[in-house]
Amino acid sequence: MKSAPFDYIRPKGVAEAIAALQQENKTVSLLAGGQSLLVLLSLRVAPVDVLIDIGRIDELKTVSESATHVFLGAATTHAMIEDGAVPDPSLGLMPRVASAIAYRAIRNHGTIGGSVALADPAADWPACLMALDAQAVVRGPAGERRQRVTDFVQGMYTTSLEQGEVILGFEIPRLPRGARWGVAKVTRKSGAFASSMAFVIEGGEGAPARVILGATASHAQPMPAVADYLSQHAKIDETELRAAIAADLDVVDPETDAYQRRNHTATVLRAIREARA
Amino acid sequence: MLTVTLTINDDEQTHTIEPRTVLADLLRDQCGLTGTHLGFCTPGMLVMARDILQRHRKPSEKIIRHELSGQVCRCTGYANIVAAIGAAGAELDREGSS
Repeated sequence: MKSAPFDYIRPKGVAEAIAALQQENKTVSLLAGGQSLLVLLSLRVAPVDVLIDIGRIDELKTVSESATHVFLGAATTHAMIEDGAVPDPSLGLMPRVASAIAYRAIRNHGTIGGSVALADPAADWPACLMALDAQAVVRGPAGERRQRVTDFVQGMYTTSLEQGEVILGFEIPRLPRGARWGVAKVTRKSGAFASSMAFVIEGGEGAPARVILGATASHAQPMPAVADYLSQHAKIDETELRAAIAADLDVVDPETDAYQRRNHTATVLRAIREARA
Repeated sequence: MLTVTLTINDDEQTHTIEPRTVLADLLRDQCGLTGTHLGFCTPGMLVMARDILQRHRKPSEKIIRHELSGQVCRCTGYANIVAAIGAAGAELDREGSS
């Protein structure tokens, strides 16, 4: 199908984009890479009166790094992360995640900011950025604010973005030397969204483990019981670990069916195995 | 029968064919170039193949299959397409190192 008619604006900078977002009585949406939004428009499930194309704003492609953090602008594409064209704070985790997002044609256009702003429950970046304990940097009419991605993403297609706000990028702490990570996802069709995905980050300067489950019914969320178990056990007892996974699943994906619980259990176990391999 | 001369990958070849032979059939049957079948997927495969060979020097079959995963071929010609990209990669590598 083709999209319903919409107005198209291409602002020159972030300030102009924020101004363009303030339209009374109209459904306004930001367009970055368009790899999800354009599909939703064509399926006519996301009615939009005005599309504001921010994909070519240089300010949103800003990348910077310090000894402790890397900042990636919201319009950084998956392909740039995959190819190592931007600094990697994650000891290889982010390039690996990028390389497994859909397929290359999508990765050439899709952006990290767009992925988080849409907050599809099965999107890779919200879960990955939570695992890395990244912060979203957001600017709106009232100025700039920052918020942990774990709090920024609040539910299925739901974030804390207010009308008029634009994600500038993400401030991502560098994983300490010696930190280990594991990631696993179940994707039944090539290029499709995952049925389940899990991220595990462990160790490095005594930091507690972080475990994030994505592709739940609502949104990616931490699994604190599993993280605690990993932090406290150098040697894993699989029965105890599975009990911790089950306890977390009751909270993060309570309505799910037996098949999906097995998917989740499998991705969490695989991610842990990779982190500890 | 007709005699045709064509240049394939800078290599001039002469073939004798039945009138009304389709180019794809000639390439496949007489030149041994089996990366194309009905041709529906071919433009996308070629674009992707170029991208793969630009980003990967002498890509392995595993890399080629991962990179091609966004392309659909309805006549399941994947094996020959993967082989064709691998062969092109090896050839480019030889040319690059000679």
